[in-house]
Formats: sequence, C-alpha cells, structure tokens
Amino acid sequence: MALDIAKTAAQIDSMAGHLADATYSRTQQVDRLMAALATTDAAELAGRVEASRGRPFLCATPEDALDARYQPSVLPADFSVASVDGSHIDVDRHIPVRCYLINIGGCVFTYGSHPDARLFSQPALYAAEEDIFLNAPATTSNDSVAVQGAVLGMLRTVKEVEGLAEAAESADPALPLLALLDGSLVMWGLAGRGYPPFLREKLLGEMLMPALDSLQAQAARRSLVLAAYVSLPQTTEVLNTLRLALCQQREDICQQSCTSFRSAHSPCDSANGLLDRHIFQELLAPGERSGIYRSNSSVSREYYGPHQVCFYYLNTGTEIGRVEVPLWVAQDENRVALSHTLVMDQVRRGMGYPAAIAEAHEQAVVTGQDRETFRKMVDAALERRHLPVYTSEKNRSKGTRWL
Amino acid sequence: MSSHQPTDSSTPQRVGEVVESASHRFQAQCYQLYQAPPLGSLVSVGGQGEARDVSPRVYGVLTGIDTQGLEPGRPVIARGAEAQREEDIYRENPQLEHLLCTRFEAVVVGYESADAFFHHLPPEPPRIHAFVHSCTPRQILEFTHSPGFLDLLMASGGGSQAVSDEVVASCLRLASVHHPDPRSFLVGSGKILALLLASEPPRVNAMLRRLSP
Repeated sequence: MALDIAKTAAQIDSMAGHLADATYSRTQQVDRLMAALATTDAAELAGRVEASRGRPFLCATPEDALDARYQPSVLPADFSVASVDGSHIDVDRHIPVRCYLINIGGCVFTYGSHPDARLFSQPALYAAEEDIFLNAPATTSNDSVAVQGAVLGMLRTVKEVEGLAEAAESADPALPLLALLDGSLVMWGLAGRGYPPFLREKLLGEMLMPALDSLQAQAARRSLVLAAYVSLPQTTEVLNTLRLALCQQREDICQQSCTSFRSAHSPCDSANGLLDRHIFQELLAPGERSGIYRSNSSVSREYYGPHQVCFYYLNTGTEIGRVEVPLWVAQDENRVALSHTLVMDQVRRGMGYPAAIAEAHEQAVVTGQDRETFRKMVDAALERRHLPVYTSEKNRSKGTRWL
Repeated sequence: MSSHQPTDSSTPQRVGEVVESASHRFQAQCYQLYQAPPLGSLVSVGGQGEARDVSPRVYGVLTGIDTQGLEPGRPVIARGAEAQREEDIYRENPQLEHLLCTRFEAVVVGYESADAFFHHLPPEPPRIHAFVHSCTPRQILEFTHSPGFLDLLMASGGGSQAVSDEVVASCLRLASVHHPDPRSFLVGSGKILALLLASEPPRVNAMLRRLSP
C-alpha cells in the first residue's frame, strides 16, 4: 500500500479543526479591512503605492474608488465569445527522442439570433533543435534554456494567446466579441530571477506581445474585449494595497521586520492570512464587479507596454472570480462594461464557470490514455525507420512492479 | 421482381455514416442531431461510387435510435430550469449541437449486387465510414416485394423480443405505403409472420394488431 489512509485521515481531521478556529478570527480581520476600504482615498493611496516600491509585498494601484461596485449592463442581442486553452506532453527523458507536444483547443460561440458554435483543436509536435532549446541571440551570449517543465508551460501560454488571436479573426466582425483566456494574463513564472533576461525577451517581447498586439489591432477595427478569468484566485495585491494604507511603519522597518505574506506590526497585520477574495466576498453582491486595479508585477510593468495587466473582482454568484484585462481595455469604460457583462453571462451559461473556457479546456485536454498512445506512436514511428527504441530501466521497473 | 414499376425520380438522402459494423448489424452516426430515419425504416449502405465494384449495397432496417453525448466522460446535465422552451436550451448553448450526437442501429436484411436483391447476409459487412442512405420508394418496393427479408429481420431481433416485434411491425407499415395495394401487402406479410411464429399465436396476434395503419 502506497499511502497509509488511516494515518492521513487523522492529520486531515486536525487540519480541519485549525481551519474552524481561524474562521472566527478572519471575520474580525475582514471587518477592520472593510472599514479601511470605505475610508481610504484611492487617488492618494495610488500615489503612495507608486512611491512604495521598496515594501516587501506587491501592491496593486487602484484606478477607482476602493469600495466601487458596478452592476453588469444589458446583454447585447447578438455577440460572440472565443476561448482557447492548451495542454501539453512534456519532454520525457525516459523515451529515445527528445520532443514535446502542445495541443491548442478552443471554441467560438455565437449567441443571439443566429446561434452557432465552432470547436477546434490543433496539436503541434516540436522536436527540432531550435524548438528544444531557446537560445540567446548569438551576438550577446551563448546562453540557452531547455524547453521543458515550467518553460514549456509558459511557451504553451504564449501559444494559447496566439491561438486566441487567430480564433478572434475567424469570428463574425459585425458582432461584439469577448476573447477569453483561462488563468492570468501575467506570466508570473517570469517574474522571479530564475531565468536569464533573454528568455523574457523571447517569450514576452518576441511572442506574447505580438499576439496581444494582434488582438488590440483587431479591437481597433471591431468591438472586441480581451479578458482572462481566474477562478478561486489566490492573489493578495488589493489586500497588500490596504496593508499599505494601514501601515504606520517606515519603509526600512517594514523591509526588515515584515515578509511578503505577513506583517509584524499592528494595524496592518489585519491583512495577515487573508486573500483579496475574502474582502470582495463582503463588498460585492452577486453580479457586481469591483473597481479597476493595475497590477504592479514587474513582468507586467516592464514588458507589457499597452497590455499592462489590470483587473477587477467579480461576484459571479458562486464565487469571487478575478477578471484580468489589458490596459487598453481597462481605460475604456464601455469595454470594461462589455467584459463584465459577457463574463457574467458566460458564468451563467456555464453554471458557475465560463462556458467557453470550459469547452476550450475540453477541446485541448490531453488525457492519460492520449499520452500513452502518443508514446506508442513515437516508438512505432522509430521502429518503422529501424531506429533504436528503448526506455530507461527506471521506467521499465514502474511498468513491471514485480514482487 | 414486381410487375408494378413505379416512377421514382427521388434520390436517396444521405442520413449518416457507419461507425460500427458486423455481418448482421451496423451502427451509424447521423450528420445532424435528431435526424435519424424513422424506427423500422429501410436504409442502404455503400454500393456507390468507386467502392461499388468491391462492396455490395447492403440493406438494413432501423432497430434503434439513441442520442447522447459524443464523449463518454462528459455526462449530459439538465440546463433548462430557467428556459421557457426546449429550443431555448439549444439557442443558449450552441455548442450542444456539436457535442451531442444521434446514432442509429440497423440489422442487415439483405444486399444488392449486379442489380439483383438477395435476402440473406452479404459476403462482407458494410465498411466503417460507409455512407448510409434512406431508401427511395422504388428501392423499398423492390426490396420488400418478396417477403424473404422478414426471415433475417425476425432472426436478428433488435434487443428484447418486444422491441423486435415493434420494429418488424413498423417496418411493414412504413413499406406498405410504397406498394400499389398497401392492405394486400400487409395481409400477405401477416400470413408470413403467422407461419414464422406458428408456435406463438398470442405473439402473432399482437403483431397483427400493430400492422394496422
């Protein structure tokens, strides 16, 4: 037996007990933060956020009143929603060839007087040298990064946005279009210092930005909004903004004594352990969205230009979701309202989660059986050409599991 | 062959494509949701285009129709709690047309080769992806002119015995309207059924009642 269920059950029960104790304390924390939300001047706080880059936590810049709430507008009679998702088969060092596969799936739904749906999926296999390694420009260095694991995940995200731009092109230009992505627009994986700068330039500057440019160019010709939906968000950027509003310590003391997750001082320690959605669960009625906030993620600020990521929170009735939009959507009230209205409608049609994203996922998903079939097909293709087919002894031992 | 030679200018309508095939039965997927031919109707498979030389046109009778999700792992859920009409559900969720599919099953009741009809199993089953067509009135008349097809239909069954009898009765009713004297055709078919089911008078009586138009 791999997992001792009895021993695990006792630990799960203990965990649930701690959670129950924490709930009472959380309610009091949220009350204190809600009071701060109602009394803090957003413009003044925005200025403070801009001047407080040395704090150990990431704040969002409020572009609206902190306690702003908006109802969705009237649903257009006819409109379209396009969504794209991706799935991949990672490089497997236990098989004889280094390759990976990215499957991009998506849909374009048309609602109204002429309902229609188009579903698609497009697998692409990558095995060429230039696909397996991303190389720094030859003139600058001989640095290179292998495309696998987290890097492959980020490359897939880029391919999803490229796929969405293509899908948007195929939608009826006479109808308003919501181009909808799953997850965050911010490529958080590139935010840390773990990757060489050329990788950011390649993935963001050379690939993601052109795809976002394409969507913005389409939006100049037709009614189009780009949005990304984050279900059950774990983000704390607004909470950190409130933490800054409450903080009474100098920045250098804050740097020394506090972390990105916890404040060591009162009253800003009211934010400890909470998430943005805990605040907006209190503020927003079902269907309502918050005001707009601008993300200060270094990736977004330094690389996204006109696509710098803004967001609002939305009470869908079943959860607090986070809707991220590029700056060119956030700065246009009509576009923000359209994104709000159409995302809410998608959640209603999808019974709690945007229908188009759910369908895009279904079109993109690569199942365990698909992965096994893929692997057998690779073996068969190599055998047909009399190339050596082998696997690692470790992989073989997992298949045998003898006593 | 019948002395009655109907004029038949209609062309067979393509109604689906074979997705499972065996000597005695085949299953087809419709191109349009809910657009299967009626239960008990006669359909033909293959025998057209380049494949005709190597594959005879097979005739089958629809024994069942079902509509369900295209992907086995995705259960269909109720969506109409707030809808006024059933069609509103499809308007609100246009993807359903692509994610549901209608299939039908048919038992093989004979085949056509070199312009002759044979009321026994074909030398090879229909091919996967072979086109399924509804039969023209002329094909129906010519194929059902001789009662031999009833032997295979009765022998194959369509699941439980009750379904089989329903299908046989439905098949004969649908075919009868294409005969110059529908009543005479039904009476003749009833006599054949009485012979085939001589040991089961109650079942014969039940089937004869179902033959009434």
